[in-house]
Order: sequence, then structure tokens, then C-alpha cells
Amino acid sequence: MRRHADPYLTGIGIGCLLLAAYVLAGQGLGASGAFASVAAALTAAAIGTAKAAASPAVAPYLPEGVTSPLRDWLVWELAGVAAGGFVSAWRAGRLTWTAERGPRVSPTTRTVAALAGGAVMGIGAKFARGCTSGQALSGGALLSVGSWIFIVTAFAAAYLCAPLARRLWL
Amino acid sequence: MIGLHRSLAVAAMLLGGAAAASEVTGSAGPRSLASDIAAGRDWTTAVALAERIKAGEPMSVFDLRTRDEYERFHIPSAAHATFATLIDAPLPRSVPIVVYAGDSVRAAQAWALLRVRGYRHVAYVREGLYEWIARVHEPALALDATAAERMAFERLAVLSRYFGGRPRLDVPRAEIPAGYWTTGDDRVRPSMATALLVAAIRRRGC
Amino acid sequence: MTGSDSAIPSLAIAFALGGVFGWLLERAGLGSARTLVGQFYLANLTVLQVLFSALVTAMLGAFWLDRAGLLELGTVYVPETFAVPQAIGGLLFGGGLLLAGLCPGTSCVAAATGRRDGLAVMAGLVIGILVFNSAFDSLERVYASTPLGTRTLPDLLHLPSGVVIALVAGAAVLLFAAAERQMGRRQS
Repeated sequence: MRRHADPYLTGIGIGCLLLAAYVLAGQGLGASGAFASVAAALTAAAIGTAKAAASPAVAPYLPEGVTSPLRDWLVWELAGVAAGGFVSAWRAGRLTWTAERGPRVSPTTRTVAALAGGAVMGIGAKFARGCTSGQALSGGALLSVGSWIFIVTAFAAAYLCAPLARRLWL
Repeated sequence: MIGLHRSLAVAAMLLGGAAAASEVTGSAGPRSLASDIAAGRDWTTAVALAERIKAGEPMSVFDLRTRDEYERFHIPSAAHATFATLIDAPLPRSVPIVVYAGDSVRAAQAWALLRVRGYRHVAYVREGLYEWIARVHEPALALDATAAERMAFERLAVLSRYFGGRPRLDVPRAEIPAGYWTTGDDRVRPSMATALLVAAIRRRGC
Repeated sequence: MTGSDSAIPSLAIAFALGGVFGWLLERAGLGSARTLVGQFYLANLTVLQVLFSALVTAMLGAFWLDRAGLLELGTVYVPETFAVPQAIGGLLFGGGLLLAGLCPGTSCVAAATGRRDGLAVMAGLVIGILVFNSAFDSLERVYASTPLGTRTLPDLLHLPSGVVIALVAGAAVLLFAAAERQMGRRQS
């Protein structure tokens, strides 16, 4: 198993990637939007496109009657993220089949926490119009005020919640 | 690794420091303005502006004519401004600014003024409001238009209707100056054609 | 931010950019929930180091590329600011991150490298968004409140961008140095 790369160098690599995105695509990277597209597609599949498009929360993710997330830039980007992550782990011998969890909790607890945490993040990402990739990273580099508000509050909340979740991780 | 990290930190601080230093003179200095002018980065066309407004791109558009003229007709989404406003107003720095007037002199002066104030993304509409009227508000198609002209007109007509304009069909060829279609929205130097067009519209007293 | 451009080149670019992103994230170890969460128990500094060096690199790069005429900063999409909802969103996101151990992007990396908890986080994200959507009528007022439009720190502070960039870069370097010193003290 190869050692992980230097975090600063990796960060600089990601920064250069972000610049490539600005130049090639006129926008930064993102992630949560892709999940919103999937949610919109599921909604449309469940209750029909027309009713889904009537909801102001769902409508922006159903442009011009296209219900397939396959048309979404962010979905393709995340597919790339998965592929890239896979290749990196594969070449470094870090592929595994496991469920990471702290030493004191059961796999079930971990799964419940992951689902719950994911749900809370999903709601937070909607309010914030993005997540660590879209707001903190891409928006932060462009010095958007909202992105920096997100950075500060997200880090603060994470540090404040850490003592409460010790049992989960340590 | 420590040595590398230290070098990276120094590089980051140097680049940051240089960025700060360049703001004091760099982007607002004569060399920078002259380079923008030479490269044609200082002006834009009415059609290009129209397409950006239609696309919902965030930007600030300012009309530099008198308040009266502004109230009678102005480019949709434009706000009124005077030189006094432009000298002091704390405009957002990350949003592109476009200025226009009745002609290019005033607008170009405002461009220079804003650039000197340190705003980096400023442009002026070369022939001002009259270019907007001629190309966006009332694009004209000749009776004996060629196929190429018809296609170009279709694009302009869509744009025009979006802004509540009135595309004019079947205009006698004599009323359309030579070069109206060839000097479309490419970034070419304005030709005699555009000048004639502008003069014709001024005579009509729009 | 969605873009449903059906042009193949645009989606191919998205895939390629994502590919390098995922590769780099995995190389840094952020495809692992325990590594990521370690930041908040001060067991490691990976999140801080990766995120802020990426941010500073892109920030400096964007400024200088714009100066060199290679990038038109005025045309790059800058997310709009909604002060209150984004603060609320940040607080929720940070708390959720602690519970889940992975953020949306890294959850994909985790899932793709065989970590089942990554899949659970991904499912949770979709569920959370569905919950938000169904409750949107009551949430809309807060969601749309305090819109400040496209507002950047230079606008807010009435400082030229170059100065703000220098301040942020300097602050980041100081943060790295202080964090490393703290880590050094804890481990010795």
C-alpha cells in the first residue's frame, strides 16, 4: 500500500484543477448539485414530471422537461470523481471492501449515523447553495462572501459537534 | 518536505504581496489602460451586450445621458449615472460594468475614469444607444436580402423581440447602409457604415 | 449549480475534471471517513491543509491568470450570497459532516474505493434533499432571505482584490504554521 501524498501538494494540484475548470468551463467544481439532480429525477419518476416541475425547489433541476440526471454537468463530474478515486486507490493498493467506523460503534450505528449525517448535510447544502466543493473551495477561491460565511460556519459547527460525537469516532 | 513547504509558503506570500502591490498602480496605470485600448478590450457591441443581458449574466449597465433622455428610453436593465456618480460610487468589483451614452466620447471617458478607479472589468458600447436602437431595438432586413442576411436577421429578431423591440422587414435596400451586415457583432473597427447608420438615426431623432 | 448542457465536449470536460479531482482527493487520503474526521479531533490536519492550499492556489492563480489575459474573471460564475441561509446551511453541514464523516464529493471517492459508509452518506444526501424539497413551502422564506447578490470580500471590505488576496494568502500560511506547531506539541 503506497503512502498518501503530501496534503499541501495535493491541495495545490486541486487548486490548479479548479483553475482549469474556470478556464475550460467558466465555473468551479461542485458536488451537492448532482445529488439534487438525482433527487429531482427520483421525484419526477415518483409523481410525474409535471407535478415535480410545479415545485419551485425541484424545478431548477428539471430543465426543459429533461428528467435524466445524465444531462447534468455536475453528475458527470461526480462520475469522474468516483472513477478517479477508484483508479488512484487501485494503483496504490488501497481498494478495500469495508465500512469505516470508529472502534467503539457497531456497523449498524455507523450506517445510521452516515445516513443521518448525510441527510443533515443534504439539507445544509440546499440552504447554502453548495457544499465543500462548490462553496468552500470554488466560491471561496473567488472570494464570494456567502462562500466564506459557509466556510466559517461549517468548520465551527464541525469543531463544536466533535466532542458530542467522540463515541462515534474515537 | 519542510524545505519544500517553506518554499511554497514563501511563494504564496510573494504572489499575494505582488497582487496587493499591483493594485496600487498596475491595473489602473496608463500602461494597463493603453494595453486594453490596443487590444480592443475597452469596448463592446450592442448585440454582444444584449446577448449577455438575455443570458442573465450579472453585470451593471449604466446610461450616461441626461435623466430626461434616460427616462424616455434606455437599454433594459440599465441604471442612470452621471460622472459624479461614477467618481464616488462603491460599485461591486467582481461584476462586469458596461457604460454607454449617446455617442462614444462620453462613454469612453467614463471607461477610463472607472479603470483609473481600479475597476478591472469595464467596457463601453462603442456607438452608444443608437447602436442598440439600430441593431437590437429595430434590426432591419432589406427587401432583397441575401440568404446569409436573412439568417443573421433571424438571430437578431429573436434578440430584439426578447427586449420588446420591433424588427423591421422589407426595408428598401437604399435605407440600409453598405456594411450593415458585414460589420455585425464581430469585434471589428466601426466602419463608415456604422457611422452613417448612427447619423441616420440621429436625424430621425430617436 | 446545474448545467444541463447536452454538448458532449462540456460533459466530457466535467468527467475529466472530476476524474482528476477524485484521484487527488484519494491520494490525499480524504476518501476515508476516519482520516477526514480526524481533522476535528486534531488527529491530523489533512482537511485543513488540502482545502486551504487548494483555495489559495486557485485564488492566486485566478488573479494572475486574469492579469495575464488568460482568464476573463468577469465571466467566471461567482456564487451569489444569501447571508442568513448560507450561515444556517454551513452550521447544518458542519454538524452533518461530523456525523457522516464524509462530504458529498469525498463520499463518492469513498464509495468508489469500496467503502460502504460512503454509499450510506450518498443515500443520506439524497434523502436530506428530498426532505428539504417536500418542506420547501415552509422553508422558502428563510431560504430566500438576505440576498446580497454577487458580493465578494473586496466589495464588502472596500479593498482592492489584490489586497484581500494578499491578506487571505498570508492568513492561510499563518494558519498552517500555527496548526502544525499545535500538532507538534500534541504529539511530543
